[in-house]
Amino acid sequence: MKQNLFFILLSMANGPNYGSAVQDDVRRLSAGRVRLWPATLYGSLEELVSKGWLSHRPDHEPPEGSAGRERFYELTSEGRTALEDETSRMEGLARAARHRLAGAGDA
Amino acid sequence: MRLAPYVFNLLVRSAVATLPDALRKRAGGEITALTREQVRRARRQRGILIAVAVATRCLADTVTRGLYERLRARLAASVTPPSNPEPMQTLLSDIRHAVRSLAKTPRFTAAVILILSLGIGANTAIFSVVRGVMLRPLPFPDAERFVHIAADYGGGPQISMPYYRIDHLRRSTRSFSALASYRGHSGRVEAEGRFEGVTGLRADPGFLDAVGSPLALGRWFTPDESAPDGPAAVVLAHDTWQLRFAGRRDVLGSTFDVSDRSYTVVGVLPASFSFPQVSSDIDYIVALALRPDPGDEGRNYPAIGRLADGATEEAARADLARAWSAFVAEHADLVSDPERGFTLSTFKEMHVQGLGRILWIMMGAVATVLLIACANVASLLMARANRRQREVALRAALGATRGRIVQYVMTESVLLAIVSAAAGLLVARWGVQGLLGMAPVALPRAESIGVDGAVLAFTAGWALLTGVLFGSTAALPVLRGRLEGMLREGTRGSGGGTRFRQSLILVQSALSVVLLVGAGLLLGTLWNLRGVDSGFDPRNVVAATVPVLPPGYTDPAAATELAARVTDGLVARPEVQGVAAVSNLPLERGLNIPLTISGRPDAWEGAVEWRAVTPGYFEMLEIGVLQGRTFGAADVAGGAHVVVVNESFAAHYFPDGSPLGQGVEVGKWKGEYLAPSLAVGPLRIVGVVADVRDRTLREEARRTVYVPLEQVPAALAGFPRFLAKGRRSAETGQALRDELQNADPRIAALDIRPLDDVVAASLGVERFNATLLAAFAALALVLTAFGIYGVIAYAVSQRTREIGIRLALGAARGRVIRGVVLDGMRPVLLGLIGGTLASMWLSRLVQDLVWGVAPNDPRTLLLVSAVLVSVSILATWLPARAVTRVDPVSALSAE
Repeated sequence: MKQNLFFILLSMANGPNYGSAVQDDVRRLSAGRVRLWPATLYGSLEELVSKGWLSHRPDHEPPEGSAGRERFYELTSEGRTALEDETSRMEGLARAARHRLAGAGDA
Repeated sequence: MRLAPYVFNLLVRSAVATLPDALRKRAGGEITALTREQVRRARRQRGILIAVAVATRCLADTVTRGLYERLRARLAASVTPPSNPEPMQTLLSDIRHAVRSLAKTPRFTAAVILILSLGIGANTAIFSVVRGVMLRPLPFPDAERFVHIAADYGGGPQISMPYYRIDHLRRSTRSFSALASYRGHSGRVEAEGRFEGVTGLRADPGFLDAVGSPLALGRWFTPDESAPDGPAAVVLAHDTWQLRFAGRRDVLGSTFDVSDRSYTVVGVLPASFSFPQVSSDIDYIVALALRPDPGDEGRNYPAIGRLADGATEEAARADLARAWSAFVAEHADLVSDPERGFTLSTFKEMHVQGLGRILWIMMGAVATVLLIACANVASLLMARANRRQREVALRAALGATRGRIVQYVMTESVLLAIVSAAAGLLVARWGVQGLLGMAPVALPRAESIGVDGAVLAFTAGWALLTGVLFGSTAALPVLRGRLEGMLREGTRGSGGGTRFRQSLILVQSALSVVLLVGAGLLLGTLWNLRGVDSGFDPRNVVAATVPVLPPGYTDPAAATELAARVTDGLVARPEVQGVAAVSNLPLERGLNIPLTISGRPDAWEGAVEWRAVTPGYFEMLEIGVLQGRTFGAADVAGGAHVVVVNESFAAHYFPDGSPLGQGVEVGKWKGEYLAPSLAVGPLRIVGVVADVRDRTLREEARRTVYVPLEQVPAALAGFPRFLAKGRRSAETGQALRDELQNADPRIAALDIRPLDDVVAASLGVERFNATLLAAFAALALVLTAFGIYGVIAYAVSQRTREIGIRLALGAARGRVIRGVVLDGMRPVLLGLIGGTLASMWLSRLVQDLVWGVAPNDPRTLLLVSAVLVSVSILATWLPARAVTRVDPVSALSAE
């Protein structure tokens, strides 16, 4: 899974959120490494919607201070599964790498 | 400026418009809103440069996202699976292919690289210097809290004011955590028997807090040391510490001798210390030991301060207004009528004011050149893309995926952009060196100015974006899925883009006109100033300045005696025909001094130009004597005090009668002398001489008094400069050098220049501006000509067959050529009109830089039009002629 998408899903795991808040959250989550410029941000969000991993929440009230027209996105159960699969895959990768690195140290 | 947000919004809207419909409908509004918000936030929090960078990133992101989305949609819809077993392999083969195909069209390749590297390089060089000088973070902590306070005496803010007022501000304001003043200081130090000049500052107790600098070693001056006649203490600059004390930690307590005075070293400044208010780097700081004295109104000092924590600029301004009212109430006698109080400006405002205008104009010029370069490259790439569409269509028909085709097409553009950026880096290096070498004044911290990496990345990024965008037009029909059409249309490619390329020519011509007009105005200014009648004749005159005197001349009499030895020695030499010693060279800033006309207590002024000269001066420079006489052998120390005034002075104070025999009291101001030693009584006017532009060539002569050098009061005596006239400048210069060495062999450094050079150097700023802008305008013109040539050459190559037929049917060649040229000139002429209107609108920017030319000078506009039109005709005529030379038979079989 692409890094941008992974971080967006991860950010949504906390509950529904809107575009520019996701942008800030991803930047924090990635310790400043991943910066989603506006078109990439909304493009990725819509891409995730078309995959069925996110859905729109049209009825949600926008929070105080956000631009009135911002829409809320929400993680679907498919999205959660995909996120969990990806996380397990990364754990597996990391485990294998650790294992090999430790082994190489012994030999 | 209203224009910037407008252009920005337009760009955002066009970028969003490139997104595929689906995404644009769902999120276009949000993308636009968030982009604006981010740029606005960056502008507010981190300044205009960062905001421009953020805007660029957002726009680039939008455009690439659009490409990506389209690609994704195509790939998803494509029947061919996107199989690409070895991506590295294909990339390498694409690069190989791109290199080969670029090598096959060396003229195209060279043109693109030349244009782009000049654009990138020139832009980077100028911008690096601009950033280095004025936009680099200031060397102070919290520089935005560092402020200047000026006094407004009715004619706008004056940088300095009497020390008593600064002291008043210190006592009666609360908005500043520190308020301080300083003055320049200079002297000589001895190193291995030679005497070198050093420059430093005199600074009062609050200075270090106002600047906000820590010390590397030791301490600041104690109240004792800051008091008049206190112990002499010095704080060394880091370089001085390293150079003269070998960086020893135990330097504190040792002595540092400046001009016969011994100072105890009490502290050392950090290497990072810099004080850009003075033009050169300083070597040391000594105490500005002043006693605030209401009577001391003649000497002015700058006031600097640091806003206290929590104090805003507005609060500080209100505070200053209160302090002013209090001052007026307390000291009504010191306040003259038009005086308006104190003004506050941040350091940055001050700093940018001095350098600002011309650097911004240069940046505008350079951005214009970059735009023209990018337009050219876009045009060249589009023409090439059109030619390649058939090849691309063939590849697609043979089963290449769209991703492969885009990669294949873009490899070439990216390759070109990278090579150009590398070449641009070289150009930028030379450019920075050249600029620093050409600069008319020593730029502060010049040694630390290099090619700015961020700037290079920025300009190269634009070049890359241009390359990618326009290079990829070859793949557009593929992405649109219009393969069959393309294969049918054959080499003719799609006719699309011709109109776009013509509008590029229009824009380029307009931009060139603007630059050419600017350059024309500045060159006209330079021309006018060189032709201005200065009133003196510098030919065959050589000037000598002694920057540092050896010890032993603190007594003015000793210095006067040394000067007399030098002039006597020169007079005795056969190769020297005229000699004069002067307090200040022509076009060198002289002294300003108050003056009162004897017997007319109301006829006084605060600052007349004061120059001390020896008798030969007026004759040597051929300054006309209008009335009376100039100085003679009798006007020596102890003789009757005499003065010669200039025409303006005579006309102002004696409009109806002759000034001869009248008295002036030099140094007397509001009934009192500035210093006791000036109180020599009235000086009798013995002559009136013609006006001379001896401050700057731009200004009319000011009211000036000349006094005999030998009668100069001790308070005003400095070591004079020397002028000598002889048939050959080299010989005269050598004579000056010899006589100064004879008079005191310890004199080491000398500055000897023909007076012609002094006059030329006084136009250094004007020459720098004009040369630079002319260089940009020439570059713009050449690039535009390139562009026109490229478009016409391409257009006629598309019409080879048609032209061949017409020629074969007996059309006259001249007619055909004329047709092509007229066609090609249409966008140029439209651009010319647009550019002329734009430069008339922009001319107010250069209003105060030009001299003797109206900003809308019709001659300049006409000349520029003529130049542009003739160059463009040449650029259209050459390819038109080439195509009519082609043999009709081969033209017909050109397919």
